[in-house]
Amino acid sequence: MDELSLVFGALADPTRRAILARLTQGEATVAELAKPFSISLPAVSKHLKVLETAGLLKQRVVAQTRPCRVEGEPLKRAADYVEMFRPFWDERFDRLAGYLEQLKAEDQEHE
Amino acid sequence: MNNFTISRTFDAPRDLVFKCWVEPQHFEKWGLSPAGCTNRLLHADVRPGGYYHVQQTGPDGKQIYCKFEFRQISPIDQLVFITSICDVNCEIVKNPVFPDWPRKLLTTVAFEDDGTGTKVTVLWEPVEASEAEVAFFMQHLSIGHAGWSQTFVRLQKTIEELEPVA
Repeated sequence: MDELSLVFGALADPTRRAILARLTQGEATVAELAKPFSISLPAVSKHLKVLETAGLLKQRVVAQTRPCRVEGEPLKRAADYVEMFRPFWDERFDRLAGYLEQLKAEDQEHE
Repeated sequence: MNNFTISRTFDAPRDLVFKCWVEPQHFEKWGLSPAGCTNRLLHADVRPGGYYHVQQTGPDGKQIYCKFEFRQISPIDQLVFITSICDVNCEIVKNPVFPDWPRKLLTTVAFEDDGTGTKVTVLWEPVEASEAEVAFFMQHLSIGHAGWSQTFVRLQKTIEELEPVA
């Protein structure tokens, strides 16, 4: 699967989004990440695996813990992709707005 | 819902804003094209069934062609046309960058008074589209419609602030 499909797949789950949101506040261990959810550690690990495969999360091994941190780059690429239609129209609207200003200025000269 | 919608309010009266879409000499000046592009109208027939054939020349000299085929013209309320990328002969072609970008996008443009300005709302939906084209289009929409687009954007912003992405 390509990166975007993996990222969108990973983000499609509310638990995984909540995990990412928690990680934007800084590194956290698996146990810390599991705490707010009423799910087992192995279930959390499964979610982490999905996020890691999508490139959204990095895990380190420190003694007995595995602190996780978030990776921003794939998310940025996915956001740019999602926003494809909006920039398309923003750019065209900007141009129309510029032309309207020009028309109004010309109108005033004639008056 | 199988469509994309976006609005902008322009600081100009409705008749003037409408004119910019349906009067060839005005349309040519902005031409539904990106910044820096020069437009030349190779054909302009503004009535249902008629079309604009536009040559867009980019700042790098690269040329692309677009076709806007009118379906409905209701001054000064609404305009419906089909947006396509085409060639010099006005034959509709695939998007060179995104081959599954729908070749025909039904474009409904609504014009409303908004204070002293004009609110323009564009609705985009694929027509006569292949499965791959619809899938491509939906892939971009399903995210917004699943209701977590805002979360996603917020999350991304937070991450960017946390570790600036070059």
